[in-house]
Amino acid sequence: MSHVSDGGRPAERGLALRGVWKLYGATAALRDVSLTALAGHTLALLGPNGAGKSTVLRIASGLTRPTRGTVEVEGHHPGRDGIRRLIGFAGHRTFLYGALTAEENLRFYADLYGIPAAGVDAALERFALTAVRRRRAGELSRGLAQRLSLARALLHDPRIVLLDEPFTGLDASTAEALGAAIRRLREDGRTVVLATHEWDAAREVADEAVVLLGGRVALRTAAGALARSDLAGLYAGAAHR
Amino acid sequence: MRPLLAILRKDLTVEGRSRDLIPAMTLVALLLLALSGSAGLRGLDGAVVVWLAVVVSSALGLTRSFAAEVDQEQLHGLRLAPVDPAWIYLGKAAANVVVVLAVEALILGAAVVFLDLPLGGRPATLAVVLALGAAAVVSAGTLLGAVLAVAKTREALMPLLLLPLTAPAVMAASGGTVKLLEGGEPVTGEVLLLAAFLALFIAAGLLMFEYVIEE
Amino acid sequence: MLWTVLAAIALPVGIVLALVVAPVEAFQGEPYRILYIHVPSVVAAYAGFTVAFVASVLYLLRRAARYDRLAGASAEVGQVFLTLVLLTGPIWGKPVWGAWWTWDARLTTALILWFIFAGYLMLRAWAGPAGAVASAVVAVIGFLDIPLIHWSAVLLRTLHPRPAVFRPDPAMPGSMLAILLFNMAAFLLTYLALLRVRLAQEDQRARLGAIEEAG
Repeated sequence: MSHVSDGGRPAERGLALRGVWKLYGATAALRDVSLTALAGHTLALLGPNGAGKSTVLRIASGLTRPTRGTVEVEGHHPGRDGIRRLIGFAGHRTFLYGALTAEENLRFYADLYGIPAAGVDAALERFALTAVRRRRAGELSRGLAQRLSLARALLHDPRIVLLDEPFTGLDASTAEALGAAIRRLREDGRTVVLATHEWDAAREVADEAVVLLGGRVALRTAAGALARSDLAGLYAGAAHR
Repeated sequence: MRPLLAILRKDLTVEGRSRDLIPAMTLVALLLLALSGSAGLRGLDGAVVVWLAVVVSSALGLTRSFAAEVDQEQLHGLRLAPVDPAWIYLGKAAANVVVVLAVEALILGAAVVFLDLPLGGRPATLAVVLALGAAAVVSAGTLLGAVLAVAKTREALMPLLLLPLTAPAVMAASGGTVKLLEGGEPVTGEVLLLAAFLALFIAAGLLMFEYVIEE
Repeated sequence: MLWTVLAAIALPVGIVLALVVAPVEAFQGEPYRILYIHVPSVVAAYAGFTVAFVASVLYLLRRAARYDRLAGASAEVGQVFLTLVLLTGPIWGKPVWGAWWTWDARLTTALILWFIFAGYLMLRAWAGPAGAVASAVVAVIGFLDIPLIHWSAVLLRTLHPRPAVFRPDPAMPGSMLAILLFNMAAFLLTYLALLRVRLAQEDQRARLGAIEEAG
């Protein structure tokens, strides 16, 4: 497996999409999207449903290839050997096996990523899942399942963390815990890209924001500069088109 | 190697807990035996029915095996992991072989009881043919199962495709089994064919699996 | 266009040659004439499946939709010719061997291949564009399976009483060989013509789909 050096230039760290188009047949899910998430920063990817946020994350993770354009994670294609272990992804679906217990699910992924058993125990503790470690994943409530999915995504201490609508459907306490976890990631110098259509949740944790509308980048700004009303206006404008 | 064992263990645990593959497969197989038996089929011909039962029940089971990777997009989780897709194929195939061998043993027992299948005097070679036949069907069926699951297409296509594709293996296995149960005729040709089939489909699986699961 | 014209001329000429001009075969009599349709159909069918195989491999590697369309169209036309093979087999067999069907290696291979591509076409029909990868994999493993199918059919022939084996007389008179070759060429031209027509249909459909989606 190729070795990815730690001493890359700052511009090579993090995530970069350049001129990315994604076509499904004749439909363009993404049109000429360019964005960068700098190392150690948290980027909020905003936009109404169907704007292309999930597609951006799937391309960033290497799950899908762009039709045109390039995507780079730490300077290399995300699907490459050596790069995949730097990426953590948590999306709508949990990637968990319902018949396996919480602990068994984590042990399975730990084996795939070469993480020792102690890492699983640590993850269970970190995400307050110790009490349900022997409960089958299929029997967990949505909030717990999301937490377990997040534990799975972060198990191997990835440098780039991609989260697709992580706050959706969460109760207040879990949402707060999630926010704290993301802030911790930022403190640890991880790069986080967070897709959501809700501003409130992302505002607390993001440095920068990119708004997608109809597959295009509509706005790029520092998180502090974007007010909720601006966002609502953008969405409404898109709806009328 | 480690990812293969992890996937093997995971699949067997999931099957062991949900217990839906082996019972369903065995029931279908036993039905085939029962229907043949009640229609008067006896003796050596039972060997052919045994292998038909193996491939038909495998067609049923091998679709379900990949269905478990779809509902929570677990397959994506596997793809994101730093694991060569070839290991995913081998791991799943290994788990499927265990399942099919278990069902095969049950079918064989049932055939002895219901169809008066004579168990001849070459158990070692018979075991080899049984194992190779199961592996052959699984090598094709695991690849097909992935292909059909990713295409999100109807499960009914599995028997339609698996049966003709594994026909040479099933023919060799049943022909060989008849010979083994009947007398002393050598089955080298049949064993060679089974090995060749296995080699071809494992190679195809190893090469094509990553193309099948990528998007 | 040229192919279609050539085919339109060659095919009827070939049939006339086969039915009228070709000398009568001493051993089998008039019915043997179906050879001139049966064998060229085999050639056209295998040509179709070979093209489908190559196109499928290219599709898996490059993911360009036109390879998928070519594979599908070629397999379809090939299947038409293969159906003709399976129909002319019994028509030939009954007067000559006294049996509608014989499990000789070549016919058995043709039959199983027919099932494989029937499954392939059904997969394409049911899965639509999402099934492109799936059908490509099926075409590849189906094609690679052919020698194994033939081998197993040969192996198993030893189990059953051998029917009168048909083999084109090695010392075939020149005139018969010439007509046979002519018909093979005619059938290949027909395959190409049909392929172009089918492919043009699929290209049109794809273009129409793109226009509709662009809205």
